[in-house]
Amino acid sequence: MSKPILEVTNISLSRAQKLVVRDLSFSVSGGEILRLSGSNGSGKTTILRALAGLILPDNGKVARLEEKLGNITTSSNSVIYIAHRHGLEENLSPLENLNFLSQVCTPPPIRDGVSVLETLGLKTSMHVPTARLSAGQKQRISLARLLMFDAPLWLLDEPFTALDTSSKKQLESMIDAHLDRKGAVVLATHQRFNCKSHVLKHSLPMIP
Amino acid sequence: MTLFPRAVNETTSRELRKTFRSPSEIFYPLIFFVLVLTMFPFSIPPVPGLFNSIASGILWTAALLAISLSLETLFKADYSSGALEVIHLSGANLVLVAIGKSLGHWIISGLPIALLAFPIGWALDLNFLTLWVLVITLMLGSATMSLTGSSISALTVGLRGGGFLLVMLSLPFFVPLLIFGSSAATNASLGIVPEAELYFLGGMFVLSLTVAPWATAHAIKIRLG
Amino acid sequence: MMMMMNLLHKYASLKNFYFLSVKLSRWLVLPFVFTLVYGLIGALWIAPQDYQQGESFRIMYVHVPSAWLSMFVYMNMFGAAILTLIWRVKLSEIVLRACAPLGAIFTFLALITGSIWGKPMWGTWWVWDARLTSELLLLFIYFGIIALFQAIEDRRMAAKACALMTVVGAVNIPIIHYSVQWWSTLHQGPTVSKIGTPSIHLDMLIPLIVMSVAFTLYFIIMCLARIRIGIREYDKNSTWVKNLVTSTLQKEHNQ
Repeated sequence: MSKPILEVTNISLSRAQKLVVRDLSFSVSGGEILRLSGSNGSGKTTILRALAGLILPDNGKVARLEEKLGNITTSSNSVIYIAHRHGLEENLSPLENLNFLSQVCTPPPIRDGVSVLETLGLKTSMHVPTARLSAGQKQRISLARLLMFDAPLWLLDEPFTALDTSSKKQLESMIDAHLDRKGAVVLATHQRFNCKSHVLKHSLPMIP
Repeated sequence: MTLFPRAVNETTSRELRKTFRSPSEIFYPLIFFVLVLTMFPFSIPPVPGLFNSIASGILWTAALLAISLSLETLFKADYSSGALEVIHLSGANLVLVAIGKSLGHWIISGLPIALLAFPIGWALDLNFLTLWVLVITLMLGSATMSLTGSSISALTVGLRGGGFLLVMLSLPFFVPLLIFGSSAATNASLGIVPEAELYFLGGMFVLSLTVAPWATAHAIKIRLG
Repeated sequence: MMMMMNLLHKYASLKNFYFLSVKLSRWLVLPFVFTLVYGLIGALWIAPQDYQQGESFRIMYVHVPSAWLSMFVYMNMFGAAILTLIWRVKLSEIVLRACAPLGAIFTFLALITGSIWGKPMWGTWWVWDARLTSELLLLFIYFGIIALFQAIEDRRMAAKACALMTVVGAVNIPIIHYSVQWWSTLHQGPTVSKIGTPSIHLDMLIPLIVMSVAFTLYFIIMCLARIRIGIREYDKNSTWVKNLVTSTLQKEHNQ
């Protein structure tokens, strides 16, 4: 059995002194997809942020493949975290946003902004200031990093928000392709979605 | 501009491009600078020649306030849109990003204000040496403010009362710049070349250039986590 | 050396430090009272009248210790800040938060007493002299750190942010101090100072040192009390704190 891409052992997480997650353990190996479900406030975003390395758990351990999250090191090499907010600068065009990322990030991306935007069906809006695009288009651009970088672990926070049917299908096929390549996905979503592989589920309780 | 690392170039270009797309925002720091200046004739006694004699100090104070208030915009948009998080998660070198942001901020606020001080000072009857000293001290001082201010701006980004808190935290650290900057200009108006003050301002600039970007990078990581 | 490290490790734990601090506070009360009384007697009776300033110089015995302590507290905060930023020690976060308001109070006291000291001599309640102006800026720095603590909801993030702010401040405070001193030499203003005169009589010096010690002991006692509150908050869900609270409530109930 190969080493899991993500292994979480007994973590507890709190936000602003309030305990949100208690004693959570799971592991995700290559080709597996884990879905976090639970009502609002049950800690899905907090868990994803801990998995991305932005926050440290109060106790327990988060281990990504070949590195331990002791010191917070993030790299597009090991994990891609698509958060709730789209992370785009409104005054710049989608292409300018992605080009900036390509230039400053380490390690450099595997695909360039133009081809990624074409794949996402945004060829005509490539040079339009992001502020003029619809919510669905912005959401699609925020997914661009999944194509631009090559990382084994994907962390997706409500990625289907505002997506129309065809974009939703595209994201589902992107996830399927990632799983076929033996990548891992941790997904927090309310919506129903289709997936070729079997979806592991983890339901999060609300902590009073 | 190949003397700067690529990340710095890219970040600065991004800042400039971002600002030039909303043209009115370019002028806010400048307009505020002149607005503050205009307040003083209303508030000080109408003794003839009084205003012109303290003009250097007033110019420096107005510049200080205008730049302090514009510091809030450094990280605000990127923090609320989530772009700051994306940049950090993509493994960017935050120190270089901090330098790029400070440089971009200086080009938009400190540099125009410093250049505008020349014609304004001329209109207020300041002699040639004073005008040059004003421009140079304002350029050096405002660059230091952009650097040190970026650390505090990163620390207070997104907080309630953020803008006011930012100015309250920064002003004590800007006082030495104000002291030496305006003293240099005052000495210049007396015909003395203000060597000591210029050395000090230069020293403060170098210090902030070597320390502030690391503090800013650390501050970003603290606020994101 | 190993024993020192083991000792440090043991008392970095919140619970152990808590009970150590209770013992320490009890032991420090008597020395505090003693030094305070001895210092006050020395200040108000034993020290001879000043040649120039008469009786009014005696405010120095409150002004100088306050000013000294305003810097000492900041140095403490700096040490705690380093521990917080590099090693993420929870206790140092609590110490940082505990010290800030105390530092502000001593700074404020230094300003008030400095102002009172200046009044009989120069007729005004405020002079822009080097030390007072520096203390005023230090007060604003303290206010800023306290405000930053309040502005961030997450306690640990707030502590880290304030720790960074404290370190940034520590770099700047010497610069501010010397800039203000340089600036005040331009203005040739009056100075609020007694120290630095050629010979200071031993009868004047000893009460000053004793008062400084008294103030420091006061700071330590108060700071430990605030640290204990912080520890109770940080560990509020743990059994030992819950036991502590219930046993204290029972004692009060029985009284």
